[in-house]
Amino acid sequence: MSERTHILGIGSAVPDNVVTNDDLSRVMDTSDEWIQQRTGIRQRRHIAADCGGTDLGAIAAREALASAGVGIDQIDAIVYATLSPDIDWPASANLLAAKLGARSVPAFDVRNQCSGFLYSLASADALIRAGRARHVLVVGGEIHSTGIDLTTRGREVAVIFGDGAGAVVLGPSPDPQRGLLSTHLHAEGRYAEKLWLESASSRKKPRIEPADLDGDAPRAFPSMSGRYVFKHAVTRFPEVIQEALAANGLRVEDLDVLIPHQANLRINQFVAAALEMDEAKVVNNIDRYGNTTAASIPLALAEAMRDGRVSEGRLVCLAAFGAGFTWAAALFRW
Amino acid sequence: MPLEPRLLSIGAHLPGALITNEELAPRLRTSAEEVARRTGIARRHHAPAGEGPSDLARRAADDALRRSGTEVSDLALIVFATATPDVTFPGSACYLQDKLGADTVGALDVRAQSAGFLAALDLALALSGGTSAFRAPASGETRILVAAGEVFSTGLDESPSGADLTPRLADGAAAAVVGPGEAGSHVRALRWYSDGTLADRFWCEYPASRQYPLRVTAENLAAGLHYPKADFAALAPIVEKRLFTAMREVLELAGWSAGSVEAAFVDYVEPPVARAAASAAGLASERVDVPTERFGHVMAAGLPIRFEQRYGELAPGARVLLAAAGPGVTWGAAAIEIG
Repeated sequence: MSERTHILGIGSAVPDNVVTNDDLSRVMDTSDEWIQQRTGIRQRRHIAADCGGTDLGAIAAREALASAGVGIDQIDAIVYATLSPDIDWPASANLLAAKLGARSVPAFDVRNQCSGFLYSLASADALIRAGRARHVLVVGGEIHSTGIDLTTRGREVAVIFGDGAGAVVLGPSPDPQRGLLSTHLHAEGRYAEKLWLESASSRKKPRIEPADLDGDAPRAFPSMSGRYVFKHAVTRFPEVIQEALAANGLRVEDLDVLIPHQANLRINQFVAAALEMDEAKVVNNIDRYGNTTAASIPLALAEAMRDGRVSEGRLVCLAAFGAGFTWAAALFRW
Repeated sequence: MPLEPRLLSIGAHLPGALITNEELAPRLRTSAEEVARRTGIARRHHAPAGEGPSDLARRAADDALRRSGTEVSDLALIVFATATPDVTFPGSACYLQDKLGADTVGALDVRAQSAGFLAALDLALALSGGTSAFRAPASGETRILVAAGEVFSTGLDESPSGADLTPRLADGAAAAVVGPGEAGSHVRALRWYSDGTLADRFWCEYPASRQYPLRVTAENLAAGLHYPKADFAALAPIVEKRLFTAMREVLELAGWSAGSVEAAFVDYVEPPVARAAASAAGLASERVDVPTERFGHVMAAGLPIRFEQRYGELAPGARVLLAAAGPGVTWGAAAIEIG
């Protein structure tokens, strides 16, 4: 069996501009109390001038490379997870590669919303273990703030999302007993339109037009059926975490750390309770960053690595649920 | 020791509406002859109103599944390569997953433009080989559905400023089943690459999340910034060289001489560049097939669509070369031995 992969280095980057709940209540009909109660979010970061997810991604990537002790020349593939690409096409991974001065390696975007980082990790692991690469840069980056409706009309979605990027260098594990144990990937496309962004949409002509930007429910802004998302998230999260543990002959009691995608604090609290997990084992930072979609897991993982919650020998589960619907888990012996 | 993964079957679908240069030219204020002269393309397919890549891919997937005796419940994952997804999110893989009734099988969209099929195939081979951490939900073989599909027709500039690019980009889809097995075609070598320093030479810039404060405005649309744009002159020499190098590389890795290749599918939005690269690589021109010449450039799907059209006439053991280049810039090639 080919050697395990492991996260050799990690980096993160968020815009400097802090947007509090009070800041939002100045431009839309909402309140700090309402947002905190529903989501657990106190503040998030929004760009304040032109800035792509790959600009933040490049900062995060350089930090990840430095902490891994790996040069950009040793990177054999670049996977960029996002639902908010810098441009329409080509893939933002190409822009990131150019910013980093990478060799002409395969560079592609994974467009899998909240599960994007874990789908990308699973892909990178597969490429390495099949001998197609030795080190892969996996980056989750989002600029949500330019694509959400920051008015009362769009408040249900707008208050949730924040901008940011996280990056990891995946490579051969230094120890055969440690590293990525298993990955699990799922989707349920029948719920695609319970959390979606229509325009630009190739199935309609024209794929994007001025009318998409206005009206009661503009097609060019995301829309969400919150109750559906909540209901499915609290079912699928415990399910996929249990699947990952069972695949390795382990149980919830063995888990040291759970790092869930940061969609909503209430979901994560519900999931911890459903698994009968001590909340102290669950890493949450949504209060400070909001939902940064593909960046949320690496941002939370970076914090947990810095403060020692994630450290050598610990059993760590990364799990996500989101638009698609899609959901995934990755289990590490750190 | 798990069996090496192979390409078990392939399916394709070109939508019914065939658009000739005669139909297209008047809107672009040019002539059919001028379009043919500039592009080397006579016709292309456009999807029916309301259909996206997942609709086209669904038909291709049905064929691919049937041809390899694969039940939807045998699938471990769906990988969909596209630059023109049904909606902005979620991806076309999720829509295809639903159309196939694939329960809770994982679904993944990858974007690598014209190298999309090669990228998705590369990933599927890696994931189905039994060497990775990926655990298929069901026990048994890990079969993965690779889909590639594009619908460009809904997003093209139909004014005179689109005269050079609009006739070239087209719609269509293909699908392949990848999995371990003794039957099926053997991917002997596959390599693909990217160079992002040339991204703005062939791109569709808007919507652009990097634009503060809004990713797309009415002004952006009025200026036509949501239409594809390309600088073919700047790209031609670079693409020709990259395509040539990738083809030579996979031939060498596979241990094949150029002369032993029975069929080569070489796709780029400018057919003469594709032909020049193939010729430089030592491939006889009568064996070189440029998908764009036949049905326009269907970015991720052009290669597998043409491959599928010829698949039945290729005998076991036949050596096939697939190569493509496009926006990114991305490019790549694969040497496939028919099984």
